[in-house]
Amino acid sequence: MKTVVFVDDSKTVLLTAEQAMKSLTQSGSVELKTFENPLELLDSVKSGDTRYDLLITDINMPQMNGLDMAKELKSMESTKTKPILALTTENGANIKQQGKEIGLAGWITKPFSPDKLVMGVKRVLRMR
Amino acid sequence: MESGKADNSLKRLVWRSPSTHRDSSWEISNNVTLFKEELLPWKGYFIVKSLQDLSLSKTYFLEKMELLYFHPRMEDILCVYVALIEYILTHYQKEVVIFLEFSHTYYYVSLVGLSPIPQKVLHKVIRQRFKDLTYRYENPTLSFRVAKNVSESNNDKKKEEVSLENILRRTHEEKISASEFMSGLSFDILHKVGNLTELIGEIDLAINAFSTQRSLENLYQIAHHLHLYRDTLLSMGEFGELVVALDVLIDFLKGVQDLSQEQAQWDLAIDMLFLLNADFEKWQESLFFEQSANDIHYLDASLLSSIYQIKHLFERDSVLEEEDIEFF
Repeated sequence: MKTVVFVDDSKTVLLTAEQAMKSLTQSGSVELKTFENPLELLDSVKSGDTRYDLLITDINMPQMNGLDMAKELKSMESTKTKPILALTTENGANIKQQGKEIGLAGWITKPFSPDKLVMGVKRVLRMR
Repeated sequence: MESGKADNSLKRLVWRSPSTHRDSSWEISNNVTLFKEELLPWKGYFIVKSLQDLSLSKTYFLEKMELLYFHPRMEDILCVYVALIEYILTHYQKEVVIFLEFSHTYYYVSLVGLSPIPQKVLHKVIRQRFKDLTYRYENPTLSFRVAKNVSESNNDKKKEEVSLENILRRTHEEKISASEFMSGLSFDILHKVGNLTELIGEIDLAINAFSTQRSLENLYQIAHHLHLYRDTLLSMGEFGELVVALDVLIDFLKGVQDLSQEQAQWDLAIDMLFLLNADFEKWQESLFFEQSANDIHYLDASLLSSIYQIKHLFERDSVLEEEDIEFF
């Protein structure tokens, strides 16, 4: 079973993501974890409580920017090779370029369709 | 200008020809406005040394200056200058002089003596109120300009489209932290924060009533309470983007005519409305109480996106045509 972590300050988005991922979670192929605050996710990763196969993160969040969080995760030994997708309303070339340079695996623009999200998850996790 | 030399008899806006100005200790034969344009040879000025003076100045502008009184942008300028001068009087006890000048096509209002206000705060206060006002600032003078011709003045106001791009602009170009924002807030806005908290509770009750009994009346009650919240946000000045996003949701809810179909979608929509309200509650906490948000506009774009997600439950082809997924 693969673990997918979502980080988004919006509860509405997390619910939408949970609904979208239902086909994967109910089949037992994916376990879903959600965090509303990037700082909590970082603490949880550092303490070893959270391990993931794919992280999907918002960019604009109140306590910490999603790209800053990604940069920190990419510098940590335990998570540096783990793929990260952005799920955000941001769609500018400059910010996408920043994401690329940090090492993100891809970019999904909000609002998103559940099918597209699942497609993105499957592709990154190489699932059928 | 030296503050101690001001003539107290000038605590009224007076109109004088340049020759009369020679009698005054104020040297204002040159143009005060920062707009480098040819002016008519008449100026008015009003010295504000106290909150009482400030109140008088406002009354005087409104009562004595009929042309200005009926000008749609002048009230905007009054709001801005009252906020700025209040800040100076309260924090620095220094006087500010308000100047009025004219050309054939424009009115000019200038405030002299704003140097103690950090430039960032000054721009923020103006944006909070009316971001489309035409103004220039060079320490210690702030100048506004409005067209005498009302239709020309209204053309200064560009209507912005409801788009994520416009909404994200606030986050990209004008990032303001919660603590910065709160440090510049006036008392009347702090009072409105309390109203927002009460309204969140009322919206929650309205959603709860709709989830218990799904009627159009109960659905429109949610829209009604969201509208009250929207109006309060609008009156606070800074959060126009959230207002735009809420308008999209309110219009959608008011436009629903039939609840008999799509029960599963409504189940999910109710959950999403509860969570949307929770997002607002969290936004208020991180902004007004904990002051932990690095960017007071962090919710702007995600709110509109969440609202589109709700609409998408019912209008599958309407808003997601531009969705994008890209792999690096």
